[in-house]
Amino acid sequence: MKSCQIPKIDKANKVLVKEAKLAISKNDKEHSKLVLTKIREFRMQLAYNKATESLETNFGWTLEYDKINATLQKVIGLGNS
Amino acid sequence: MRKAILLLSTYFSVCLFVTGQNAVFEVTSKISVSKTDSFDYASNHLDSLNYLIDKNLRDSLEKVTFKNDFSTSSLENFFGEKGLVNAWRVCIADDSLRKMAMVLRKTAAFLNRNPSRFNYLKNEINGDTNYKNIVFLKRTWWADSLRFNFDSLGNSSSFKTFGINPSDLKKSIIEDMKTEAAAPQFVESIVISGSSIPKKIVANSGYTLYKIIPKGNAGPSLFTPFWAKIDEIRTYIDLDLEQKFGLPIISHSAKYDVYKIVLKEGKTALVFESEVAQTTENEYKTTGGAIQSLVLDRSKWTSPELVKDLEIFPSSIK
Repeated sequence: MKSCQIPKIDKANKVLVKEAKLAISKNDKEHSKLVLTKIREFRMQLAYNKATESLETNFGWTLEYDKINATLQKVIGLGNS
Repeated sequence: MRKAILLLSTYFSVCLFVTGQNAVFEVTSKISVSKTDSFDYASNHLDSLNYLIDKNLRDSLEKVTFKNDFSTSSLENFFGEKGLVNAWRVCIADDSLRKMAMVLRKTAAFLNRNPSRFNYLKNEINGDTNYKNIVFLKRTWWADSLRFNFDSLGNSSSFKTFGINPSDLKKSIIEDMKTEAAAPQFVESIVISGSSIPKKIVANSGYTLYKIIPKGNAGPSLFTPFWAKIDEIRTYIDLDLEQKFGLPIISHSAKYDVYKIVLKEGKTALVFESEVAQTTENEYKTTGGAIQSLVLDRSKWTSPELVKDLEIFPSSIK
């Protein structure tokens, strides 16, 4: 993920990506569901604030989120509960 | 070639005087040439011209045009300021703009900061409407200078809205917004983007809202609630659009793409309209004043679609 140089937001992004990777590597269905919800909530928090609304598109995060979400959904469909 | 190298190694201080849209270069050269060295200025100019062409241009049309433009004009500025040849290439379609020193200098400054925007700029400058080209360039420089001065990281980190305090609203309005919202826990941060009490509108399927995005940028994000009616956007195209919509600097642009979303078949939604609040971003202020339409549950709406025939090109020059 490209850094936006707002430490709080960069940190939150990093934590989410790390957690997603963990859930994917363990093929953990429940954890993947939880991470999906967390990512959605984070994106909404950014979008609902006019100051952060365009960060996702301006820093090219949408594609990254889409890739992570697709992998997490695969795990949810196939993984262990 | 030897003379071209000599010319390159010469120190030039270039002073630029701008008169209207025309510019005059005064060149103060400290040339240390031996008195015994006979200096053939005509062939030296040709050498320099060929050097610039060989070094910077690949396209045959560009080569011929550059030669024609500068066969008798001074070339010193091209050696003194980085990126001027690229600026000239961007403006090549416009016979007069590409010969204006001020235009080349400012465009070069823009390209030096935004090298990836070369093709975008070149595509936007066409040969048939000179006035529009200069408006486009002036707006491009203006948006770039705002970014450079007030939001150099491009992350809007100091952007603030001065809207209505959510605690001043009737509870029922906040409740209505929370009921409609896909993320009710963040509704209050939307409320403060407006300076008036949000007005509830019941929208039926087919209801269409729009959003402007700097031309060529990625489309709106999946969850953004900030939209407007097309008439509201049209009203302010030439009346300080960016000011009225309280846009963050990163969203300022010479031209805008327009995206639309439509309420899906069989759906109803609550849309909340409020007046855009004043904003600040470091020392840069916007007035607000346009009416925004807040869409709190985007799942009821179609994905944003680029409206190709609705490009917004404000004519105001800053």
